[in-house]
Amino acid sequence: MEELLLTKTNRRDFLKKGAGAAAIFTLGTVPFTAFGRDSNVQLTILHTNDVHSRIEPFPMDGSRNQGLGGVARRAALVKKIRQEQPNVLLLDAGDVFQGTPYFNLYGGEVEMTVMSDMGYDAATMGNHDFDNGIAGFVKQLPHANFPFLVSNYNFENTELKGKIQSYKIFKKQGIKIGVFGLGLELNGLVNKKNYGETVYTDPIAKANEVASILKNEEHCDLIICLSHLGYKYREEKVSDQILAKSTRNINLIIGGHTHTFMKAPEDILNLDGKVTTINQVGFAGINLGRLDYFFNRESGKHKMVSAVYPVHEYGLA
Amino acid sequence: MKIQTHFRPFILTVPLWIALICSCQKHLTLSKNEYKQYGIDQQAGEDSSIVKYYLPYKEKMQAEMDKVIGQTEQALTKPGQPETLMGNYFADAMLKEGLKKDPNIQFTFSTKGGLRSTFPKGDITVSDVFELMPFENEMVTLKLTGASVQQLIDFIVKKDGEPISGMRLKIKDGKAYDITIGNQPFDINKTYNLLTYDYLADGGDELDFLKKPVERKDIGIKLRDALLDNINDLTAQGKKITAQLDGRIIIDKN
Repeated sequence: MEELLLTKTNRRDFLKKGAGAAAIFTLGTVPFTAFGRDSNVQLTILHTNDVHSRIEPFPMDGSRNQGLGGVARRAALVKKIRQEQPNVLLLDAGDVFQGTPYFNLYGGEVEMTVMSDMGYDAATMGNHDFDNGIAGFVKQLPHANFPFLVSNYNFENTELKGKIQSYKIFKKQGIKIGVFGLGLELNGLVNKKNYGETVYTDPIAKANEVASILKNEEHCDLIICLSHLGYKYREEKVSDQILAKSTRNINLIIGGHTHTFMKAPEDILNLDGKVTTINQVGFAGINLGRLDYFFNRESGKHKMVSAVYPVHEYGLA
Repeated sequence: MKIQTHFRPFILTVPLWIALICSCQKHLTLSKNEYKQYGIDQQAGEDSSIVKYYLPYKEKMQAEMDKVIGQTEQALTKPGQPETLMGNYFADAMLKEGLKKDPNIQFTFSTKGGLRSTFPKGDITVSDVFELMPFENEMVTLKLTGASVQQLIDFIVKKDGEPISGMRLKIKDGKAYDITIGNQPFDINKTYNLLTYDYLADGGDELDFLKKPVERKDIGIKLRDALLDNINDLTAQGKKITAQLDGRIIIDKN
């Protein structure tokens, strides 16, 4: 296992941090370090996308990815991180199915079972998750002890009615995390016979609607979108980059579909001028992404906490 | 951009701060975040309980994959133009299996790129068929106008041949001639019934003109399953998997 950490500190970052600290003081607020230990809550988000039925590592056949991936290794790593961190969310951005004979022979049972064993908290649906039709997906759902979240597919007139949630709220040491999912246009990508009467709706409008509920009605502290839209495209097509700048209230987009190996998460300014972070970690379970969010807990009415204070550690794959 | 991302939140915290004074609720604010990425490689330890879980599935799968279902007389290879042994076997098997479902099919078309491997000489296993056709492509019949068929012919010419069956043609100076479909000369004023698969019928590989057929019928059988059936049938009849380079596409270089 390789864990590469690269702390990217340049002069500009230093200046920004300095300016940020100054801003806190001028507002008469208390900086991060002034809180006691109990004030700090760390949330660890682990994520995969497009695992594509890669149960075993790629075979040692001289191909580019030989020896990489494998669910047993991922499970061991996740277990180790859970021993170190109290607040872990393990998420997947879709295309659990298709890519090895495990799927062709067992229809997704093995994939769902190992994800459940690893303690996945939620996943969204990718286009390949329709490969055995809606019925084929429904058949495997009992093997999943975690929810599939998709906000912009209407399954009312399909067998998936009532089986897919739009979003789910997780609570970790008082932090409320809202997670929702977005899927891409099925028409033209997935055989109509396989998605049946599933109705696709505009992901940007839906994302704004759901994120607003999570922020303003559910009062979530962090909002995560599991997106199978794809990182970016050359043509005019909705992508995570477009989603990020066309929405409000989303803190993090965990992406998939384009199998993009991002060297580091990308920060994009959303409609409110706030940061929405995008990340995607390739495919086939070759990588596991990890984002740690540190929160300041505030009790009583006169204390104020600092605002967003990004201290990135850039990882390299 | 980064500077903006940093300053904006402070401005926005002012109303938040006022809101907090008014409420006695606990509040959490994001203070920083960090990123790491773990490469899952051979140095990573394994969770033995997970391996233990999937091992029986793996063994059953391997037994299934290793099952010998037929024999080739000679290796069915891919390189070469305009015809290949693999391409001809694949196209002929497709036509034979397609005709079982729709007797009106006149010819088949697939692409060299869609055939992902070759068959060795001798035993052929289920795994060989999976490697040849790993995709879930399903057979589709298209009724095409003569003009669309002409576009398809032009495509085949451009590619120096593609796997076809039921159609024969000669190519000279980038043009096709002596074209026959089902042993009849090609007539651009007629319609023809083509068997292909959904990926291509949906316009994949820049075959946009296939998206506008006179009629489309999804047969609902995976190409891979059709190939498995074809090989099982041959074996049941005591026959081997064979193919010939029979001059269905000839490039005249003179």
